[in-house]
Amino acid sequence: MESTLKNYKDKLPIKLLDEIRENTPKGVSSSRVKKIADAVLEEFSSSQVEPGESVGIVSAESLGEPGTQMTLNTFHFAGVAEMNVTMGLPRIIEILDGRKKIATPMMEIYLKSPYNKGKDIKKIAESIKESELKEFIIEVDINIAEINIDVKLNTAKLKEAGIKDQEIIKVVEKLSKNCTAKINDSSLLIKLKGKDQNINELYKIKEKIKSIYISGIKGVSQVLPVRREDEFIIITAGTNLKDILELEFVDDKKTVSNDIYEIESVLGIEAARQAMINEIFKVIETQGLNIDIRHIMLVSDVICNLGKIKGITRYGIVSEKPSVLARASFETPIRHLINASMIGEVDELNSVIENVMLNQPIPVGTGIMKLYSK
Amino acid sequence: MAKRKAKNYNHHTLVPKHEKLSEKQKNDLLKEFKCNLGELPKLLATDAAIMDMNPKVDDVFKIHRFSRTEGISVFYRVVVDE
Repeated sequence: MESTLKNYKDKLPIKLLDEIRENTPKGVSSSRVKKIADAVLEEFSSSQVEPGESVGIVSAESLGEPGTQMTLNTFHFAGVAEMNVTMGLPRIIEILDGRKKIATPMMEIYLKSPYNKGKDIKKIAESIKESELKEFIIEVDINIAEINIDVKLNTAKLKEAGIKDQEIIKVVEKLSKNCTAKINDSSLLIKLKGKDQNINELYKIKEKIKSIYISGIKGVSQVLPVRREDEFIIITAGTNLKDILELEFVDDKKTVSNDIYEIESVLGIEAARQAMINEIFKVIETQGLNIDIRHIMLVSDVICNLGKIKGITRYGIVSEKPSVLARASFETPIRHLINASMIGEVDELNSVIENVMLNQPIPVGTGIMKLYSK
Repeated sequence: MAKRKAKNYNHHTLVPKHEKLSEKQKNDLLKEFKCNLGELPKLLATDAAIMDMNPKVDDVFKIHRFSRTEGISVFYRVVVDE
């Protein structure tokens, strides 16, 4: 069987070959296998898209019609109040427009083998979360008589997060050039250096001290350990894929972000395309709709065609169209026509929309054929 | 938190296998598809997935995509800068 199927390797997709292998009973003669494969090949080639088929319009309609039935625009995670995820139509629009800033950036962090069993999962999650100094402060006092700031620290919490006194002193002293910090038990004492002791300077430090970045991964504002099948993963609000993948306990094969631009810059354009397909398909699945994945693949291919993400907006792929009339028919027609007339652009009338405008046959279906003479 | 040294994520499940075509393979491909290099989909020379393959402008990469419908589908991209 294998030797017969080898001849079909370039003609049939791997998945169909596997299906033939699975469904053919054992011990079938090679001539019958050939017959089966030929029948599959005939069926396969007759079901392929024919040249000139307007796949773009079909995709647009197939995505657009079910899109009108989408409900539920956000999705909440149980347990964390502020953590909701944009789903439904707003999310699809966000992806297809190629927005740089998405509404709810989040990551799914998978962990490597000893860590994904659930032991210490809370501690690991907390260590990823970006924390500012204010989370460890109980009270801030300004002593005007002695010109210093007395900060009461929550030592138990600091110990839990594994932050050393030295680290705090280091970041606090970075705030201002002429200040020194000292830690006694649970209080942080900040003094000004030299003779030029100015109360204003002290107030400035006091304001800054609360928002010092102290530990964790920048950009990760919420963490939520979740059990998925038989392992534990961490879902985060806010993304920073580059820094997360550098951590040793993170599984750098499966960890993903929902920010397509971030994936493009860390993993490349092909990964961004795959992520885009997965994200759109996830939305459609949760809405209980049924759209063929090939439509989504086509749209993603077009968006990623130029090696970088070009959304379906007038600044994205529409601006790349060679035809003036095609660009003008999308949005802001007057601007396009004026700019084109100023530089003397020529429209070759090769595509669909400009021929519709001029009442001519469009190059779709049988209209794609032209007469050539040798 | 200990950090990893290698910064190559080509083994990530989202990243398909990228394969650089030789000059002969490239010409065969263009003949087969009856097209020129400019008509192929583009891939930036700075793309993260091909960073350590020493890409030059006009190189063609064969990409073995994972596909839900086909199993593995083959795609080609030509390297451009910006």
